[in-house]
Amino acid sequence: MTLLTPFIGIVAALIVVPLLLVLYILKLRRTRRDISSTLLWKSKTEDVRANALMQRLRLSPLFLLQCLLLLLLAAALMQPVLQGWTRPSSRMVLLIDQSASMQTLDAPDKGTRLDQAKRLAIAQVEIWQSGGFFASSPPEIMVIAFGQDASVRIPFTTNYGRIREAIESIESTDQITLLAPAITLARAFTSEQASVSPSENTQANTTSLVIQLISDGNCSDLGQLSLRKNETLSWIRCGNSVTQNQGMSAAGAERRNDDPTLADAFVALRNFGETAVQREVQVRGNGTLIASSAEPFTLPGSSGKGATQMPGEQKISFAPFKISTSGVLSASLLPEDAFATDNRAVIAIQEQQSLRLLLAGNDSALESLLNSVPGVLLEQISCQDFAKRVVADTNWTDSFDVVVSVDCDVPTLTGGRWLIFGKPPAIASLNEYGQQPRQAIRTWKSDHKAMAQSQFSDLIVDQAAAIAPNSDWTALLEGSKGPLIVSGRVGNASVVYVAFLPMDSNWPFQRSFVNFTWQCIEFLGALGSAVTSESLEPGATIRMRVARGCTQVEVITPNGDRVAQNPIDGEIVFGPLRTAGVYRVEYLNPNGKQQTRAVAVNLTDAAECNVAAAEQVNIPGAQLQPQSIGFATLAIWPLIVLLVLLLLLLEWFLYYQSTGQP
Amino acid sequence: MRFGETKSTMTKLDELLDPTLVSSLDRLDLMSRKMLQGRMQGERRSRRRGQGMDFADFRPYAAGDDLRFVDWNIYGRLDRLFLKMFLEEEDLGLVIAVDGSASMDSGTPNKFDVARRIAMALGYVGLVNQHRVTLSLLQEGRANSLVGLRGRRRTCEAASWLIAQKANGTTGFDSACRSLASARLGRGMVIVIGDYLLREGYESGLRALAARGWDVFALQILSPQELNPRQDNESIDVRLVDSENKSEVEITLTAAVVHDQRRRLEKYNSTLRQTCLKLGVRQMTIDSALDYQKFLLESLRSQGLLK
Repeated sequence: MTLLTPFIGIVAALIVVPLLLVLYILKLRRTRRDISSTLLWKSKTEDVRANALMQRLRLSPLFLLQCLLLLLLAAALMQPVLQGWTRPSSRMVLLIDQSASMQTLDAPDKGTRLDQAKRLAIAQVEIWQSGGFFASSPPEIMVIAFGQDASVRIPFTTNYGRIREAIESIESTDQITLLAPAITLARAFTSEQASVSPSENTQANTTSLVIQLISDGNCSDLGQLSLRKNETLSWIRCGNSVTQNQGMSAAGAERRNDDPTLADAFVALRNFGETAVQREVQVRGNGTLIASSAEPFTLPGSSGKGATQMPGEQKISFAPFKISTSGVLSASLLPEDAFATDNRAVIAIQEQQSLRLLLAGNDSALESLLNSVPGVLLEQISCQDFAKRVVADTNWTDSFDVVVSVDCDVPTLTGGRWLIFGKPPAIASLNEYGQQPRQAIRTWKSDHKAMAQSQFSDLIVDQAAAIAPNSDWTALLEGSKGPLIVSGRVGNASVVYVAFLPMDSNWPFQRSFVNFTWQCIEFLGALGSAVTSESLEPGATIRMRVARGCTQVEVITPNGDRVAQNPIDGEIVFGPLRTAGVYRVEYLNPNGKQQTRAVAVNLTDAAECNVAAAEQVNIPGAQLQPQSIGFATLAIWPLIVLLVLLLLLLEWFLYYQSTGQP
Repeated sequence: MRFGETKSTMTKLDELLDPTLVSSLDRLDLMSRKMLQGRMQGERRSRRRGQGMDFADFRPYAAGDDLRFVDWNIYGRLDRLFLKMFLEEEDLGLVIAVDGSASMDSGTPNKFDVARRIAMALGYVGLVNQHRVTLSLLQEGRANSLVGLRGRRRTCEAASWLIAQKANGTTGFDSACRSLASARLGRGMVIVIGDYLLREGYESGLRALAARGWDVFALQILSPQELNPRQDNESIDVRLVDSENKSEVEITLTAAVVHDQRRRLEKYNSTLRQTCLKLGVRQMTIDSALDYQKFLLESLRSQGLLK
């Protein structure tokens, strides 16, 4: 039995019991008068006459009973709970957090939080298996490990050995923490098993779900959670709520335009602790130290608390360094703290590649623009020849990184990446219905990669195709009379369609034309990987295009595991990524040459990197306080209050027995 | 404020029956409202025709009749034999039951002492008039009795028995009366002396006695402290302890409380009277402080218990 608020009860008992004693001692000393019978006397006291303060305490049954009542009430105030209470045949779900923050080295035995969580989970299972107070049989237990996604490690079972193995096999990830998928998964399994029999469908709706969460409580989706009526969630906390962490919030490197053999690198650092700390940063290229902070610098402490906490930030740029080939830069924050995952950041720099572009049709503005970009191999073709080649060879367009079509009739969209101006391609989902006259710009999707850093507010379109694309398309630019630029995927083709010709607008004279065209080509052709690879977050998926005919495609994880891949339509998909680090994609190109491309995966999620264990888990409608392992607790104070009421009745009975009143 | 704490201290026979009262009692006899059949010839008329002093009737002579009762004057005038009939004088069964509960051992004068004095006086009257006197103590649901007393010479024995009795415990009035009623004491008069402050009630007990055909007389003795618990105007906080079950009542004796208690006592006594009337029981309430000699010689005579 555990007392939740022992102090309050002790204080109450120390006040009221002596008070009762005093009341009895100070009780009016009435003169004892023996009379023949009290039959005709009714108790009526007015305490008219003051009496001596102190009198001998008479240990009457009433006094002892009243003392007992007060002590019981004080005990109820202590909120005793009985551990070891569980409902027979109930089913328990163990949710074990395997997110990045669980790698923090602040467990009591200096191990990671995940190790602590696994120990706690096994101990919890052992207690459940031993049968609790009032339990007739051990509950069925399901183990779910969760980070950004959730997986059932073992479905409902009472087999202790298998449960233990499942718990011990849980490995750490560098993913962020999302609790909702785990609970959804638990619900799915619970209702699925409860409704095996069609006749039990109604019972499935009322199946109770008892969930034991073992985590540090840093879940970024708590605000979107809601527990159902028959669900119980309790939380066992791992880690320490005072653990402070410093880490990298961003890292990058870019080749210089004027000299591609040189690259600039920068890192952004943040400090979740309240106090400023001295740190040092080193950058290594392919294992060799190539840059470092000149001397230890001060990383300022955070400001604010709770939801308003703003970590202290510092950005550091390094002097340009020479890197002519592809490689991996690694930035390290020194010295390391309890949470090492965000102390390192990797940057994959790819070898410079030429971009193969096909320009179909004549547009002088586009032609001069594309010719001005270094590293671009531009081929041009007339619209008539283009239409013939497309029909003759459906794989022809896919051999280019990007196909730019200007007012050409595109009879069919073959595989590849298309930037189409003017006449709409023969795609039913675009729903072309004529021409739109002069129109201005209403809005644009500025967070799209092709539209970033561009202003379209001054764009006037004199004439454009009238289209009404369905929901498969994303409108990037909205004119006053309809969408003007849309993006979508049709079969194996990725398409950005501009519903007007640049020369039918004032666009060629605006900077947004240059920005859009180049960014769109980067977006379509993933040209960015030729300069610097984009960093992914753990939990994301690697989508990489390789040339058709490539063989022996393998993904090498940061742990060194090699995972064979089978490209589909020239694209490999690998993920979700479980750990941070450098993933390498190796393949033999059609020429038989070994190719390697690196993908950097870094944990930069602010919520995950703030590793201080939560004080409480706040979900809408409930605040979970950390509990120790054990059975679900049973509050005893209501039983005590019931006992007090019964004793009050007894006290009433004794009182009237002693006074002889009815 | 006075409450009865005076315990019984009577130990001598003289205290029980004042010698100066004896000569007055010698002239008295008990008077029952009922014509009761005795067991032996006594000094009390009965319905039975026999050898008494009071003429009742004539009847024709029959063979075998005692010739001593032939009225020879009538024979001389009418030449026929008639027999004179007299009311036969028989003895009276007299049972005097005293409440022996602890509640009687209180008051000033002590109620138990007064009860025993009255019992002794009435018993003496019964003895000198050749009645069968039974003395009984009602205590703890039993009737402890001294039975079969008859004649003046048994006076001392009766007095010694009464002196030896102690008041304690409860009455158990109902059980005690039933026990008394079931005893083979014949028919007669029963005088029940007590305070009648009975939690368990008295009706059932009195009914059991009356149902046996006895002429029942209920004499309630209350102490002055019970009749008037407060004699000054000072308020006082007291804890009243019941002498029988030791229950306590905490009370502040104010004029209003005393008035309320008196009102309840009056109501209680009124109920007692009505109950007795309903059962055909004569009832009387007296103050233990009254002059019991005067009570015996005047009040009981006026009530028709003595003549």
